[in-house]
Amino acid sequence: MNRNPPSVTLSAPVRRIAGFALLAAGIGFTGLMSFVHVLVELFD
Amino acid sequence: MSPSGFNRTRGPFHGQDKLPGWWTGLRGVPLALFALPFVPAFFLALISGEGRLVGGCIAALAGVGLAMSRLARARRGDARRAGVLLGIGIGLAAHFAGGTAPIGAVVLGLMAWGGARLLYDGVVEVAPPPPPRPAPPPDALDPMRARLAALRSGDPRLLPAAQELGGLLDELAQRPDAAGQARRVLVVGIDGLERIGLRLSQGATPPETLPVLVDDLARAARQSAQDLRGAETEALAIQVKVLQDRLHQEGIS
Repeated sequence: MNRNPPSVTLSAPVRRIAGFALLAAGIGFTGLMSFVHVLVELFD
Repeated sequence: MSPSGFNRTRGPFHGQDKLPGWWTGLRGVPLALFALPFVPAFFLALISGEGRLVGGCIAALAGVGLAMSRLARARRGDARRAGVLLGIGIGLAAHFAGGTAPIGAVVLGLMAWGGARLLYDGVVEVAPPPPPRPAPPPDALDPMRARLAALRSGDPRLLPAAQELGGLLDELAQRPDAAGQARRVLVVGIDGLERIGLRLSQGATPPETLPVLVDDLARAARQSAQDLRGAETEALAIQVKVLQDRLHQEGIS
């Protein structure tokens, strides 16, 4: 068992919050954009 | 909660993060929550029949699913692999399902990758399990063991020799390096007994010399087994003598 060494020298809470925000933006925004795009393509 | 939950001793988290082992399997849940819009988008894309849209949604769901499975597995390097898989899946989805320009897809993929890297860097991971041990090589004496078993269950007149050959085989099994006379006795004895047993089973009348032959064969097998044991005893005596001389030279005894 080992701890995967962090590659960014940020404190753990900052890293977690930043990662969460980036994930929300990256995946969530892409998902919503895809949903809207599919809707537009469907009813266009 | 069951003992296998909180009291697990071999879970990757236990003892480090002070969290139960099953928690490891939930590491990827945030990814699934963020990826929820892809589910209705996938079905709507199916209805629309647009291959690009369907492919993009599949890429996103596959990327998220693979990343979640890597995170739940929690082996060394899995968090990094999960980030790469997620970035690729989201980039493809942004281009094909989201309709963004290639540069936009790359940026969104990088955001997903960076987010996963930041969120999951520093988590506890276990080393991958060692490769399975290769199967032991087949024992060269196994065929002889099977032939001897057949002889033992065959004609009872050959049983004494078969028993002694079995003892010799056991001695040989303990010393796989031993060769020469003992192995020759074993091979010749089994071959001969098999042929004799075959003739007897076909109704041949045994000659008067058969019991003598069986006794000779049994004696030869017994002698070979004793020789093998004697060689070991002799080697042990030499070892003891050498050790005694060494202790004497060192002034210990």
